[in-house]
Amino acid sequence: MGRYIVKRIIYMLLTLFIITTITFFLMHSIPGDPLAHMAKNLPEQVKANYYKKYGLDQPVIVQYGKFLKNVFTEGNLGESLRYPGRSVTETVLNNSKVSGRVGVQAISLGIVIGITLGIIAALFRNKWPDYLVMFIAILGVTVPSFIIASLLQYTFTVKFQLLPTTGWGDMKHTILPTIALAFSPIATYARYMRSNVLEVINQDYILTAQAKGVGTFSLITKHILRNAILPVITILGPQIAGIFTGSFVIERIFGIPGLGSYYITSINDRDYTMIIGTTVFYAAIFVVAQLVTDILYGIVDPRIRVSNDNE
Amino acid sequence: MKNKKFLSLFLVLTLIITGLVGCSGKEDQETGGEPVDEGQVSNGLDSEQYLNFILDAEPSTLDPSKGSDMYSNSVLVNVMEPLTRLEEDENQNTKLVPAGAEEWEVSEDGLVWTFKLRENYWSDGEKVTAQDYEYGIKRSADPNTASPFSFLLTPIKNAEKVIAGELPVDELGVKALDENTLEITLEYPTPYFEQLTYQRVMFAQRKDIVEQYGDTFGTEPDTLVYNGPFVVSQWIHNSEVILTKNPSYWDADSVNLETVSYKIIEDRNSAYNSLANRSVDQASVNDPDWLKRFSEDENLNHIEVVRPSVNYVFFNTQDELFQNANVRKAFSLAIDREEIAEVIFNGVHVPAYGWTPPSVLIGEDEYRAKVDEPLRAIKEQNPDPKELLIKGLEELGMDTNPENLDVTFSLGGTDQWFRTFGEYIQQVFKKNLGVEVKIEQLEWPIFDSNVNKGEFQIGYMAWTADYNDPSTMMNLLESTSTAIRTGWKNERYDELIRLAGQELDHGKRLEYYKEAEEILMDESPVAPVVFAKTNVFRYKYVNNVGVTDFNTQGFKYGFTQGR
Repeated sequence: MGRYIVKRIIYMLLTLFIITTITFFLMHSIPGDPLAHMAKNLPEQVKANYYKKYGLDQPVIVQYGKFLKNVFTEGNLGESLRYPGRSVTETVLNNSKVSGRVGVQAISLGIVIGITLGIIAALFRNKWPDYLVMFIAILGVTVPSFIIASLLQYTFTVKFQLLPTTGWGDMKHTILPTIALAFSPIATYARYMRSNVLEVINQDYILTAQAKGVGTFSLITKHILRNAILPVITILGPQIAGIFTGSFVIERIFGIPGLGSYYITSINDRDYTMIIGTTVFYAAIFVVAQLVTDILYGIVDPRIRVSNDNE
Repeated sequence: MKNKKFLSLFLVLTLIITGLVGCSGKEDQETGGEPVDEGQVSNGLDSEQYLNFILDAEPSTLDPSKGSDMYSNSVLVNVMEPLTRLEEDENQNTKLVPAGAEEWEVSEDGLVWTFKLRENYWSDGEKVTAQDYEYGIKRSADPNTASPFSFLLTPIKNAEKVIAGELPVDELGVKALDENTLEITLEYPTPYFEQLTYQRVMFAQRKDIVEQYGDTFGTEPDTLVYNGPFVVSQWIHNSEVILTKNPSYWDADSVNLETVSYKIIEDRNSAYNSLANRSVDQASVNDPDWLKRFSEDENLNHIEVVRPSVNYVFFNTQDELFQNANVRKAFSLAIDREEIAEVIFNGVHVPAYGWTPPSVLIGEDEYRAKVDEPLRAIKEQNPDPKELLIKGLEELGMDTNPENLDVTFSLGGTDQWFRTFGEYIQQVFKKNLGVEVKIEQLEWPIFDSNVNKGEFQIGYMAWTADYNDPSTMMNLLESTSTAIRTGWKNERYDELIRLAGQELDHGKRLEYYKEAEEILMDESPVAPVVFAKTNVFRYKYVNNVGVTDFNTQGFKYGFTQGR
């Protein structure tokens, strides 16, 4: 197991390096420059001063060398071009905390409600609770989150003025965005859970447990849930990655200072340093999440652990 | 249009009447011996003075030299004290008033400006000195700072060479004679120099603070000191900027507001929801549905704001086809500006037949009020743009059948609005010129890059004036300017711009600009389409807060009454 993890970590670092390199050259190959966001064509001399200051007047390969040097000697991803003076590393870390808070709340809510709904739907198969849950699930999957967010905002801040419209700071600011973000996970988990429970419920060991006189509650928690939850862990991995990167739309609507918007705006603004920063961050979280999922899987499911040991 | 005039008249009247009624009501209350409403103090102002406004996007930086966006500008004018301020009256006319400078003198040749500073203090207690202004201006001009707006400083002696790195920064014509006197020497007499004295590149900056924080200067509220009516007390990036009253400001007595919160809201619907539930006290609303809704709300004032901005079509005059002025003019006249303002801009913007937008002043007068928009006359002389096109094609010795022309119209946006606009413009050129135009929708930075490389035929863009003088618009088409890449050159135009740029008599300047604008419209390297306007809705309890693009009074005199 230990050797396996070390090997995986080496692969991870290699992956990150390759992703960063490809991104670096790709972003410099698309036309446009970081001054374009001003929507004003500046005099040539002013542009030249700007390029010189930020080293953009040099060949891409030289810029790449400097970038690598900064990363390896100082662990520094540089200064944002769009927001002069701001450190990319700090921006990414600070904003990902904000996104992370909303994300963790949303995923937790999604898991708890989604799994509960999924079990209910399975237990009442083809009865009205099942139809209701599946209806909610279909809505959650098909209705885009910005529509849900707008509806929530209009309902709870304009019609009934219970919560703040936008902003960040208190618990109350996180309620609506959490619900808006949780909708899609609720739907996903409910559907997964329903089909898993249905599969497990027909297994012989459930029948055995029932025959032995196990109570309904303990039958669900001990026998059904444990076995049905396995596949859910698979989809958890990529979602963990999404937690810290935030959602562009939701954060925009609720004025949340998260990381989501940077993924889109840094590319539109040709904010090269920020593009690299956000990409490296997402890639790192993603590969780590994958590793964690694999390890978790190994722990929960003995069959996978065995095959790993055989490697 | 007429309806709108009536509407605004009506609103003004209701405002006056409600104001009067409000006053008399209060008098009754006081004479009746009843206790004054708890929310109000004796002078009728609300006891708690605060405002919540919207900032459409995150400010890039509060470093006066480095940023260039209007969002950081909006914040900066409230927390810094420029030499002068542009204050506006209720009719949205702006007037230049002394601010950081108490008074100033100009030498007879118009070259030496001497500013006498007012006694003012930074938020950390230090005195604001002429040296601070000198340092601020020099830092903005320093090529190592790479200030995007450094070009505004060009009228100052040696500025061009300093910005180009050919002369050391010390050679710039800015000198603190003593603690309270700042002398600025110009390269040539500049009629609009006053309009530059309130720009961010001329703000005072503290050398010790800039050096202490280095690159992070201006990125967080505590990496700056302030000398304006407010200080930035909190800045949650991408969410909120909070300003609080600055007690050490020289004119603190005129400042009523204790706090102003700028909520950073990019999403339009969120902005409208915020206005609807009073989370914010003002928003600009240009969506037809919401416009209707808010117009019906009697708690809101509807203010139509003319913006110093023009949306225009521009031609690549190096192109085989668009090198011909008649062809360009034909394409310009083929655009139905009245219809486009109504159909594409929902009647918010106004048709443009001239280059310099309304609200731009020349001396004391509004330029547009003095000079007719030249395209109107040109349009009357040429009722059929297709004829012009064929004439142009003949001059070029090309096939005179418009249907055989291969023309691409480039747009710098990929969203639904640009798609609609593209389809509309396609239809217009087909109908009025018989030309089948191809539409090319590009992501903005790619469009920008193509235009800069001269790889386009027709493009569409907008330009907002940088300062309040026609030169800010007219200089853009000078042959040495690279602002709008038409590649167009006209000697007489260049001469007129040069003359107007160094003439101190505004009457004469007006004549120069008038002739220049006529040449510009006749040659049509650019075709103005609409002048921008915006609808601002503001709760009636908000008073004395600037609303125009140019104003730099910000929240200084703002107060609320009857919130």
